[in-house]
Amino acid sequence: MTDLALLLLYQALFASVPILLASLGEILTERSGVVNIGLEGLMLLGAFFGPLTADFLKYRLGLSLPDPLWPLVALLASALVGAVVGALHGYISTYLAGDQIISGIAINLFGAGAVAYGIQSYWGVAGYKQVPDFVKTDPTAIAAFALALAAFMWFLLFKTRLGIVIRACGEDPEAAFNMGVDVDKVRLFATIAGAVLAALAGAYLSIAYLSVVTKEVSAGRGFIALANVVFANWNPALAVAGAFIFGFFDSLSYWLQTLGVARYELTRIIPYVATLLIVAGAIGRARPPRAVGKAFRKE
Amino acid sequence: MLRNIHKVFSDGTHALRGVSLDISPGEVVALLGENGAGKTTLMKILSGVYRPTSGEIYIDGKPVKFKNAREAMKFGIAMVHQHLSLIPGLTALENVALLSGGGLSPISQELRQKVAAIAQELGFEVEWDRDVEELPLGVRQRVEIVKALYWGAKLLILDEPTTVLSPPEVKSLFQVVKRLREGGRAVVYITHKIPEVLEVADRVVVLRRGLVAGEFKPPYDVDKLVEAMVGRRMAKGVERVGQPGEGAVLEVEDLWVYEGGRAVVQGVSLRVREREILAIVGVEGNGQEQLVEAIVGVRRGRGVVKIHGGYAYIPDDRHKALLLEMTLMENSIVGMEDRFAKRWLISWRDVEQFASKLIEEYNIVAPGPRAVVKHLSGGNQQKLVVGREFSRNAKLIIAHQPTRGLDVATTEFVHGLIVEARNRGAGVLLVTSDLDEAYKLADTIAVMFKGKIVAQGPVEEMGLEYVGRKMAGL
Amino acid sequence: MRAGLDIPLAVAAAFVVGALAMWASGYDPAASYRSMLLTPLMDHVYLFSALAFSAPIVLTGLTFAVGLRAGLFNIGAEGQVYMGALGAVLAAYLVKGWAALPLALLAGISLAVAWAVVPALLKSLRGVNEVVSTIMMNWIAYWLSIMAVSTVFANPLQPEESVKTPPEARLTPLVPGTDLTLAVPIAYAVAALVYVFLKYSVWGFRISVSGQNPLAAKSYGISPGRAIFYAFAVGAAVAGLAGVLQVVARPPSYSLARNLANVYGLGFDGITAAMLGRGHPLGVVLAGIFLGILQEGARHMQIEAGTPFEFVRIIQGVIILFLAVRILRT
Repeated sequence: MTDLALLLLYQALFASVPILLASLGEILTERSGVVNIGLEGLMLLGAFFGPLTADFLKYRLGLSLPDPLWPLVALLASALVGAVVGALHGYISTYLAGDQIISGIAINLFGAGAVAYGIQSYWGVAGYKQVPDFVKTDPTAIAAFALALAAFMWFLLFKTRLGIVIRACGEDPEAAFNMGVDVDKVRLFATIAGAVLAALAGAYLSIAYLSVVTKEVSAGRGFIALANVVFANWNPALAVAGAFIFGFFDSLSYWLQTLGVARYELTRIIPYVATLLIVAGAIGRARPPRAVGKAFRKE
Repeated sequence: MLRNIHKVFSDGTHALRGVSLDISPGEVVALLGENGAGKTTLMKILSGVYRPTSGEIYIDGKPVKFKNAREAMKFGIAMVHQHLSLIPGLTALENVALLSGGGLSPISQELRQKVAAIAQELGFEVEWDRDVEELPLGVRQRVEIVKALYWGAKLLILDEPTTVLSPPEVKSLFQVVKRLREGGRAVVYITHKIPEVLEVADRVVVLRRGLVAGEFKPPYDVDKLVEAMVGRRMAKGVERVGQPGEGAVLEVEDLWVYEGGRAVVQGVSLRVREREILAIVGVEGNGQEQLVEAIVGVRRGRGVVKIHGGYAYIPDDRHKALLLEMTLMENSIVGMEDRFAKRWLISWRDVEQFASKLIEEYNIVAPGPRAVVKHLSGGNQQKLVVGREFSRNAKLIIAHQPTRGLDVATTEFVHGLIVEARNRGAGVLLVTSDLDEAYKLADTIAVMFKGKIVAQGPVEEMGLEYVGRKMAGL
Repeated sequence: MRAGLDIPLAVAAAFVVGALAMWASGYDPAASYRSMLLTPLMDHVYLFSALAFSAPIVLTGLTFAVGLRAGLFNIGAEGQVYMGALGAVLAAYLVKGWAALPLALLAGISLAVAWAVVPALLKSLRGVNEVVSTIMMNWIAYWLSIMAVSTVFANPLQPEESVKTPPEARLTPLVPGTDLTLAVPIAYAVAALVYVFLKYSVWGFRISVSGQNPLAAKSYGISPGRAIFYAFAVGAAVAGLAGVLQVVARPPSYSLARNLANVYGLGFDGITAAMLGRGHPLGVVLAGIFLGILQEGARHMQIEAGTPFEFVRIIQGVIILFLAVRILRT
């Protein structure tokens, strides 16, 4: 019986990785004062462009690389896509003082469309494609990276001087500006970093965890990551716990389905219901960075 | 040294009209004046937070220009603001360290030691690793002082430092100021409280309405100081006719309002009768804002608030009363929209007529009722608010700093409206820090200090000097 | 006014980006755009089909637009549409005559409004961000609907669909051989009603005030909490109606597809319509028609030029991205 429980926990850990990565990215972004609700779109784009680039380079361009390198190519490609989209959102949110929520919605829409369109146009199948074997990789390495990243981010935000600067931008940008901080630049970089992580989370989904690219591969995880940021009270250490809880419910739903305990569709709603309950409970004591979501204007 | 500084803000207020000031090292200069006199603005220009519209700043004889506070700090000028500018969510130490820029290294031991040393030199201790949000305001102020000194401040500006302090903390603050002077640094001490000036200042400069109204050296004559601050009392204006009635339009019983764990309004009880103007005077920040918000329903309070016959509300900031993106006519009916509805639907033609009348009656300079409010000037926006509120024909009028930032003619006009409404039977709760205004209009004056009403009585019995002292907590 | 220039600029920019994407993936932009934009206008059957596509989009666009007025980002239209459709299917299951129609409307709209209560409560009582809560509700609705259609409401004769709407309860095409049913004028009429509500009703005004400046609203006796509730309720009702109409007024099947194909994505299309229409109900109608043409055109584009029809969503995303900047500029 304990074997079963251990297996469940083990699976929960792997299920938690995409949420953890995206949450960590968003924590960094929101701590600097920008809100990016386009995580879902970024995940989709990362999940798609990773394998796509590898496939393209290998089969269309005939590039030859040692086997272990291909997953890295995929990760790099998705990180790049994340960076570009993140730069766009970051630029809109800071220097152009645009509406951050609308921009995030746009990214989600674009991501959904681009991935659905891309799967169809590149692989000629509708909405569902098995990831080619050469790009697939073991999830353990990325999972370890995610945990290490959580530790690093905690250290960065709370123990280094750069962390002080980042947090100042999110709490009181005027005061920070008066202290000589280039608020817009800090926010831009934090947004890019966050977007890269969200895209990597997507890449993990397609090349390491689910081994498929579908037009729905993220299944709401981007928004669950947003909820996790609140649950974690913008603290990377707590984000690990939160991601694990969500991962647990995610695996639980698959388990229940495999064991035939409940109908497939009912099990699929478990993670979402859990998210709602957790967010409703958490929001009372959570304290967001004071200036998050508001563009910064110098007087 | 500041010379001939003018400052006009983006909303049209001419805050400083040519002020010149000299400061030498090792001296404590008190900048005295009422709220709105321009003291904070002047110092914010000196410390780099604002830029002057015209005028120059010289340091050691050389002209300088500051782009932000950090640049001013390079020249050794630092300001400790009244609403402290520490960044919440960061610890005290982190706030000091912020100026050292980014980098992956943690805060150095050296910084920590130096900071502790400065604190010791000034005679106090601070818990450096606690989030500043959790620190009491008195401690936060000390952190700001240490921060300024760590980064090499030679001129320290303290803006209304005692508003947030308890009496024993005030005593230790005076000690700190003395030690700063002994250390050869210059201190500019902004205040409106005369007793403090008597304690610490080597020199007193009085500002009134954006101009220097007087400069004094010890020994200080309190009456002369008050006169320079407040100016002569304004003469006539509209006459109050009739006595306050018996019925009450507003009853407040034992009202308590809490903010951040502290009680900012402590057991206030008051009554405004028909045909009465009750003026609550006091320095801003003694709970007046929260009192008004609790009465109006924006803030929750404990206690009883009873309003008889509807209310009109003029807030201290017109942004609290207007919807800048909407048109003038839309703004004109906020809170009254159901009066313009015939069978569930609002008749916008009626509203347009009403708004046009308002424009005419209240002399609002605007292209028309369909003008978007954010394009109106500040003064006209205020007139719109005043016009709307007086058109409610409510029994109770709550006016919070109704003439702040308005020119003389408009101020007179608003005063006239208030008195007329009162004469027609309305009760007015006037919350103001302008004593001229209070004395001109009020039937009854109450003084608010640190959340309590510390004095109240008919205007004939409340002498200016007595009230002034009560406002200062004496 | 500069504001009027934003929309055409954003759309044009989106088409340029789209052309680049198409060219990069090996499709012909010229042929694709021709099919997408011109073909629907060439035949009245296609045009009516475009209008039929526009009807639910107009409705879900109204949902988002009303939310915006109240200062909310109500992304829950997607799930509320599913609930509306579910209500219609329930009615079809229970009643076998013309009575299924009013029952469908009642059940569908009520379910949709009930679906909005959870996010509304979470926002008013616990301050939960409505973006996250509405998306969660969307996904829950998605799975519940699929389950319902696969089990209880399954159509024994055609397993990829739910039970069909009884023939007497259907809203059949007004012009034979086309898709144009009463759904289209109903949707536009509802848009007009919402316009009247927002501009002329007392609570419509209060919603606007509350959305722009909740502090001022509270100071003068308007309760922002109630305004949020009404905004959610009206939005959900309209979305629910869209769901009902997709079941009751969609030839040839008049049922809910097992994979929810005839209701999927309507919520997000509505967001695009609301943004293009700048949150104004009449603008939403025009934007809805435009998007309907795009949707109809995209189907032709897939047939004639081979470009996948999902391309439409890329265009939508880019349009909104450009609009995100303009929004605060004026």
